[in-house]
Amino acid sequence: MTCTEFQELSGLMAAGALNGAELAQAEAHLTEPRHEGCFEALQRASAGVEALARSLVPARPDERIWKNISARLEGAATPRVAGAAPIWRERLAWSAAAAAVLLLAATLSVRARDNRAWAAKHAAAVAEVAHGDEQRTHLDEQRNAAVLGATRAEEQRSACARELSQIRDESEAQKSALLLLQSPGTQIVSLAPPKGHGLSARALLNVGAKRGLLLSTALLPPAGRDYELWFIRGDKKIAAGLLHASASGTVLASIDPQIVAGGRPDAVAITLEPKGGAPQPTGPIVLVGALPKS
Amino acid sequence: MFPPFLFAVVARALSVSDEALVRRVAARDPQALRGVYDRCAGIALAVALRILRSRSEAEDVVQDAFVEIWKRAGSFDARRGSLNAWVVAIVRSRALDRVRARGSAERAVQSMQREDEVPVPLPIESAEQRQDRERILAALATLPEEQRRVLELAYFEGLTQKEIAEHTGDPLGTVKTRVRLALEKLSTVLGPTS
Repeated sequence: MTCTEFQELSGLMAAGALNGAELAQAEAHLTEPRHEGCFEALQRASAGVEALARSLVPARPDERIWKNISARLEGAATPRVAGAAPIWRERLAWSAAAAAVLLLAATLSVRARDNRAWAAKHAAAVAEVAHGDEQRTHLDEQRNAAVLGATRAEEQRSACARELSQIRDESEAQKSALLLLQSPGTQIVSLAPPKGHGLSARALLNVGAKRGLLLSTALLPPAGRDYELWFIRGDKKIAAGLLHASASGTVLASIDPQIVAGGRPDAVAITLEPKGGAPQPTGPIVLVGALPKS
Repeated sequence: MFPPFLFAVVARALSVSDEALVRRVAARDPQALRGVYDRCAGIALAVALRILRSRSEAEDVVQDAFVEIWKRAGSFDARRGSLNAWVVAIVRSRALDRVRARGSAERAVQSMQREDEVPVPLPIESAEQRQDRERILAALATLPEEQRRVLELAYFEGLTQKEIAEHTGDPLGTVKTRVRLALEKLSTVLGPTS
C-alpha cells in the first residue's frame, strides 16, 4: 500500500468502516518507517470521527463504575512505582504482567469450556422443570407482562420528564409541557427512526384538551430543508407544522390545537421536506411513532 | 497518595497532556487512569449507550474498556489521534462486539426498541463542553444528509464500507467519497481546536 492509497482509506479507517483484511493492510502500512502525511491524514480523520462522539450529550457515569474498575485493577495490576522506576524493575513488571495475562488466558479458556458444559447441563434441567410447570409459567408471564406494561408506562413518563429538564431557555414552553405531561389523558408517543438508529423525539397529545407538543433534544437542524410533522389517521396524512430545531438539536413545538382536536391519530411522523414544507409528505421519514391501540 | 478527585482537579489545572497522562497509566499509576476516566468517561458512556441502547450493558462496556486501557496504555500513539478518540474507539469497538454477540432474536428486538426504553442520561457537560458540542452539531448540520448518514452507519452501527454500500444501495466508490468528503468538511469546519 502506498501513502496515497493509505490516505484515501484513512477516513474509513478512522470511522471503523474497513473490514479485517483492509484494516490489516492499513495497519501494516503504518509500521513502515517513512510516510508522506499518513499520520497527519489519520489524525485529521480521527478528529472528524471523534466529533461524532462529541456531538452526543455526555452521560454521567455512576461512581459505581469507577469502583468496579478500581476493584478489577487491584486484581490485575502491579502497584504504582513512584518516580522513575529502575529499568530492570519495569521490565520485571512487564514480564510478570505478560505471564499473568498468559496464565489468565489459559485459565479463562479452561473455565469457558467448563462454563459451556455447565450451561448445557443447566439449560437441560431448566427445560425439564419448565415443561412440567408450563401452565403456571403461562399465568406468571401474563401477570409479568401486565406489571412490565405498567412499569414501562411509568418509565416513559419519567424519561419524558428528564428530557424536558434538559431543555433550557424555553421556560414558558417547558412549564406548559410539564403541565401537559401531568394532565390526565395525555398520551406520550415515542418517535424513533424507521431503521432504528439516530434521532429521537416524543409527542405529548391530549385530544380532550386539544393540546399537543413535540419535543426532542436530539433533532439536528437539516441543511437547506425543514422537518415537518404529520398526523396519520388511516390513509390520511395531515400536515401538523414545521419543526425548527436549535443548533443543539432541541425542539419544543406546540401542535395546532385544531389538528389535535381532529381526533386521536394512528401514528405521528416527521419527514424531511423542502424549505417551507409540503402539503403531503415527499421526503424520507426521519422519525415515526404509533399510538398504542386503545 | 492524592485522592482521585484531587488528582483530576490538579490534572485539569496543570493541563497534563494526553501523552503524559497515558505514559503514567502505562507506568501503572491508577490515579492517572482516573484522570483519563474523568476526561473521557462521559462521552465514552454516551457512545456506548447510543450503540447498545441499554444502560447496564453500556456501563459494563465502559468498565471493560477502562480495564483494557489500563493494560494497553503503552499502545497509545498520539500521532493517530487524541486520547479521547482512542478511548472512545476502544469503547465503541467493545460495544459493537456486544451487539454482534447478541442472538438474532435479541438483535431484532433491540433494533425495534424505542429510545424511550433507554434511560435518558443526565447531562454533565460544562458550559464550555456544551458550546463545543453545539459547535460540532452545527458543523454536522452543514453536511449533506447522505454524508452524515454514511458516517453514522459506520461509526454507530459498525458497518464496513461494503455493508454500507449494500445497506444504502450506493456504489462502493460513492460510500468512500462520502466518508472522505464528510470528514474533510468536519475537519475544516471544526478547525485545529477539535
